[in-house]
Amino acid sequence: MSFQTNLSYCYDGTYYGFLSGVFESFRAKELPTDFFSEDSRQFSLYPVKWIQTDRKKANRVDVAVRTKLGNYCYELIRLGFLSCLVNKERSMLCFLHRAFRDGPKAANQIADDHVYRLTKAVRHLSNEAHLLKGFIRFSDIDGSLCAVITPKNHVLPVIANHFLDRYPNENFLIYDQTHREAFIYENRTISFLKNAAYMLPQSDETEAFYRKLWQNYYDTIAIEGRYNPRCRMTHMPKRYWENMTELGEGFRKKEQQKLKGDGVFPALAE
Amino acid sequence: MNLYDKLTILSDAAKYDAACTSSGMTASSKGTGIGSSIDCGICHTFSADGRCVSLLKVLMTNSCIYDCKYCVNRRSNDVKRAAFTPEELAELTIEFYRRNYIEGLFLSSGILRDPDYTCERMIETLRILRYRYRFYGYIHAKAIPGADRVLIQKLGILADRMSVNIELPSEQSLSLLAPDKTRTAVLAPMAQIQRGIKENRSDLVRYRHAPRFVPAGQSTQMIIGATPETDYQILNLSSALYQKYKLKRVFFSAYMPVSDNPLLPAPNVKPPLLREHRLYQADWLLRYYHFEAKELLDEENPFFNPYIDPKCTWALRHMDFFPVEVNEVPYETLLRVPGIGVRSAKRILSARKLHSLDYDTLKKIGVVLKRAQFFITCKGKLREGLIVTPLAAFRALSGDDPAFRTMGTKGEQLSLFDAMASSNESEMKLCLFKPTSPTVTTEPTTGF
Ligand code: SF4
Repeated sequence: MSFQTNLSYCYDGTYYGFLSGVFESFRAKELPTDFFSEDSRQFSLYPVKWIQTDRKKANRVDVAVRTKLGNYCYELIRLGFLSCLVNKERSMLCFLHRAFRDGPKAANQIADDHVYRLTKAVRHLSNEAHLLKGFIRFSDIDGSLCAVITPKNHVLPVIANHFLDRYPNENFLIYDQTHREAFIYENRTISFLKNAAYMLPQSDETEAFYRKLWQNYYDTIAIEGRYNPRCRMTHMPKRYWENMTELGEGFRKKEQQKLKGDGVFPALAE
Repeated sequence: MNLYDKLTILSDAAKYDAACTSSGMTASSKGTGIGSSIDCGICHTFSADGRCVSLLKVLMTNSCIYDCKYCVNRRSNDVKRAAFTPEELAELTIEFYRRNYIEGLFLSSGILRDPDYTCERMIETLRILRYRYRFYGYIHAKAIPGADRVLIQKLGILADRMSVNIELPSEQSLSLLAPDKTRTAVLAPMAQIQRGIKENRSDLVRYRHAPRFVPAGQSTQMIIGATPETDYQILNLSSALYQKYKLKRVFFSAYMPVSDNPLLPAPNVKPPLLREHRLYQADWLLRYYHFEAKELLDEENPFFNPYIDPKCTWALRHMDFFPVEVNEVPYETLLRVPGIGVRSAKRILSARKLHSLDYDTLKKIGVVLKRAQFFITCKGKLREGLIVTPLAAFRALSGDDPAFRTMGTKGEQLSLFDAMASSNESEMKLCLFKPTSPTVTTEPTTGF
C-alpha cells in the first residue's frame, strides 16, 4: 500500500481502542508499521502515536464493518482480536484497508498474507474454544461452580454463552489464568473482569468425593486391549491436562498425598 | 455397597458398548432447570484408548437373567454384581454434569427380574432427571427387547436418543450365541421406535407442544469379529438398517474376548480394531460421500484391505476415473479423490469461485496434497515433477495410513486377512489392480 508510514500506533489494548486506531488510520490515510497495545511493552523503532480510545469513533467502525463487509469479515475481526496471533492488530488493519476497498470477498483472498494469517488464527481460536467447552472442569465451592483455564487465545467471550445456556440457574466463575481475565455469572448477572487474580480454593469433602468418582470412572472406562496414548494425545493435547480433574497432576497428586497421609502418618502417630 | 464401587462395576460392565456420540440436535432449558445440548458433539475427555468421552455410560445393573455367550454380564459368568437405585444414578448424573465432566447420560441395563421391571427402573431414573432436576441435557437410553410397548413409549418420551442392539450380524449367529434372543424380538422395538418418531413428527406439525419422542433418532450396534460374517455382509446389513429403520447411526464394536466358549474367538485373540476402523470408514463413505456398498466390496472381495482404506482402494481400482480437474468437477467427484474430505471439498468449491486454483492455493486453503496429487490436475496440469503410475500412487497411499500405523503394527490379528492379502506387495497389487469384473451382484442375505 502506497501510504505506508514510518509510524507506530499504541493503544490501550481494548477492542474499542483498536477500532479507534482503525478509525485514525483511515482518517489520516496512513498505515502504521507497528500497531501494539500499551501492555505488550513492545519496543518500536518508529515514533509512536498514542491512540486515544473513543467509543463514538470505534462504534462507527464497528457498524461499518458489520454492515458493509458482512458477517464473515466481521467474525474475522471480532475473533481475530481475541486470537493470540502475533501482531494481530496490524494484520487486521491491513485486512480492513483491503476489505473496504474490495468488499466482503476480500476475506476469501486466502493468497493474501494477512487474510491467510488471520483465517488461521481465527481457526485456532475457534478450535481451542470448542475443545475447552468440553475440557473445562468446574469445582463446587460452597454451591458456586468455579473453573480455571489456561488457554492461548482469549476464549472467555467465545465460550461464555455456551455455559450460560448450560447453567442458567447456577452461579459460576471461569478464570483465564493466562490473560488474568474472569467471567462471572452471579444472581443472573454477568460480569467480565480484567486484571483479575484467582486461585481455586481447597475442595471440601463432597467436592473431593465427586472428583474421586470421576477419576475412577475415567480409569475404568479405558479398554486395555485398545490402549492408544497417541490417539488420545492428538485429540487432547497435553497442555490442557493440568486443569482437568482426571488428568491434571495437581488433582492427581493431591489424591496420592492424601493416600500417603492416611497410610504412613497414622502409623507414625501410634 | 458404596457408590464408588457401584460406579466402578457398572461403568466397567458398560464400557464395551461402543456407541457414544452425543447430540446431533439442539435443545436448551431456556433459563429454567439445567442443561443444554448443542448440535456439534462435545468431547469432555479422551480415555487412554483414545476414545471421545461425552456421556456417563453406565448400566442400571449388571445382573442379568439371560446368558448371551459374548457378554460379560451373562448369567453364567462369575463377576461381582451391583445395581444403582434411580435416585442415586440421577444425582450422580447431575453432579457430573454440573462439573462439566459429561454432556449427558447413556443408560443401558442387564435384565433384572424381567424386561418390564428393568425398563421401569430406567424410566424412573430418567423421570427424576427430567422432572425433579429439570435436566435438559442429552440422554441416550437402550430399549430393552421384550419390554412392554407402553414402557418403550414412555422411555422414548424421556430420552433424546434410543438404541436397540442388533448384537450380531446374522440370525444364525444370534441364535447360536444368544439363545434367549431372536432377531424378531430385537427388531420389534426398533420398528416401534421408528413408527413413534414418524408419528411424532406429524404430531409436532399439528400441535406445537406435543411431547417430543426420541428427537435425536435411534441407532444400533453390532459386534464385529465374534462370528464369521464378512465385511460385505455386515455392510449390506447396515445399509439395509439405515434404509428400513431410518437409523441415525450403526455402530460396530470389535469383539473383546470375554469367555473361553469354543464358539467364540479365544481369550488371547486381539480385538479386530483395524477391521472395525475400516467398517466405520466405509460406513462414512456410504453416508457422506455418495458411495454405495457394492462399489466398495463384492462377493469376490468380501473383506476390506487392511493396508489401504476403502476410499483409496476404490480409487486405485478406478485409475481410469482420474485425474480430475479441481477447477471444474462437481462436489461429488471431488469427494472421490483420496485425501480430499468433506471440508476440503467445500473449501475448494468456495475458493474456486474467485479464481482458478493452483497447487499453492490448494495448500493454502488447507488441502493436503500428499495423497490427492496423484488424482487431480490444476488448470489441466499435473503437479510438477510428479510421475503418476498406479504403483507410485499405491506406494504413497499404503505407506501412509495412520490407522494402519497405530493399530496394525501392534501385530493385530492380521492373520484374519491373510486369506485375501499378504504383506507381499506384488500380491496386494494383484488383488487391487485386477480389472473390476462386471459385478454380478446377487443380493446378499441380510435376514430381512
Ligand atoms: S441380555 Fe444383555 S446384559 Fe444380559 S447377557 Fe444378554 S447381552 Fe448381556
